[in-house]
Amino acid sequence: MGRAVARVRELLTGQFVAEAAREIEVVAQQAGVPLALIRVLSNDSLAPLLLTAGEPDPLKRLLAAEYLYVEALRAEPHDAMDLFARALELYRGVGPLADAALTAAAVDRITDLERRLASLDPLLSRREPS
Amino acid sequence: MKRVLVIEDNRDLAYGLRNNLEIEGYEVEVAEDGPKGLVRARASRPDLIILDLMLPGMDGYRVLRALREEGRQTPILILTARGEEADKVRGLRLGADDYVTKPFGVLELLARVEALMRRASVATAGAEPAEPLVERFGDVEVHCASRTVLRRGQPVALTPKEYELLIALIRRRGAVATRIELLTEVWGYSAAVLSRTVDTHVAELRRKLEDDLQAPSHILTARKAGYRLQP
Repeated sequence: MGRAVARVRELLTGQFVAEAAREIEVVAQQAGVPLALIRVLSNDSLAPLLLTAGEPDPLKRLLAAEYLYVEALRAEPHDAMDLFARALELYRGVGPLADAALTAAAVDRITDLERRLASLDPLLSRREPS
Repeated sequence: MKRVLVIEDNRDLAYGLRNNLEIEGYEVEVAEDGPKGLVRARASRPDLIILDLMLPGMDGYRVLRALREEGRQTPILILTARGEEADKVRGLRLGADDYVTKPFGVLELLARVEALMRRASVATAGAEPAEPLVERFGDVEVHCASRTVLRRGQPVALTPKEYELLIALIRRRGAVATRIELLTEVWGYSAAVLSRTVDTHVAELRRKLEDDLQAPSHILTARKAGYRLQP
């Protein structure tokens, strides 16, 4: 799944947002991440759905975070801010990843999200997302 | 056991809500679109309804309006999109009792369900029934609690759909119901149901409840519109 998330990253770098969204749908289905719930449930309520064998699964969390990120890229500014904030919260809680490149990419995404949120709402960058 | 009707087209969400509500001890029924939700709300008389506003077939507002216009007092919790204040205001004005905004926390939703149930229990203790127990027109009596129909004191055998159709006409208190409205309410309208279905069932009701089939006194045709019940 880590490779698939990296592939999604590549697509986003090339601005292929729709393709990235499709890629996420395929990977999510394989990984058992219910995308239909990610936008309707709070991050707290999503947490039990992002476990594997009862343990937090960093890759599932990464996938959910990236899904929110891609959705935010396609959303209206007001919705985008909420979605970016939720993605940032999920990214911050991903935890250690086995793949060093993926860890670096996650750190990059956190920086990217902080920058985007700051540009959308200067006040938001000073507080933690709820 | 308290019964909750979830009207939600997002299958994953409906499944999750059902699981969580059942764990809390509720009996749960799910309807996946507006027309089916309306039919289930009428037929199963739940203690509470969780209603998504964005539904296929018939949106949540129309479901809400239909239920309140019929005088049903069932507590209704609506699920609204984030930040859409107008949705919440419209929903509350149409008679919703509370709302939860997406994305929502499951624990918050369960707490609101519990609070609404508690409030409803207090409100209904000793209150009059929401609907009349017996409806009458001409020499016909409809006993709602037992779903029995008497004509000149004798029981009339109606099929479930004929009974629902009769009730749908009675509820309008003489106002016209279009064929589409009746199809939606009684059959949970779908393309598979032919519009002649209403006419066929009306004809059958007349045969069972009217004296003169050529000049019915109660179940009247509103030309090019639908049907209405003349008490």
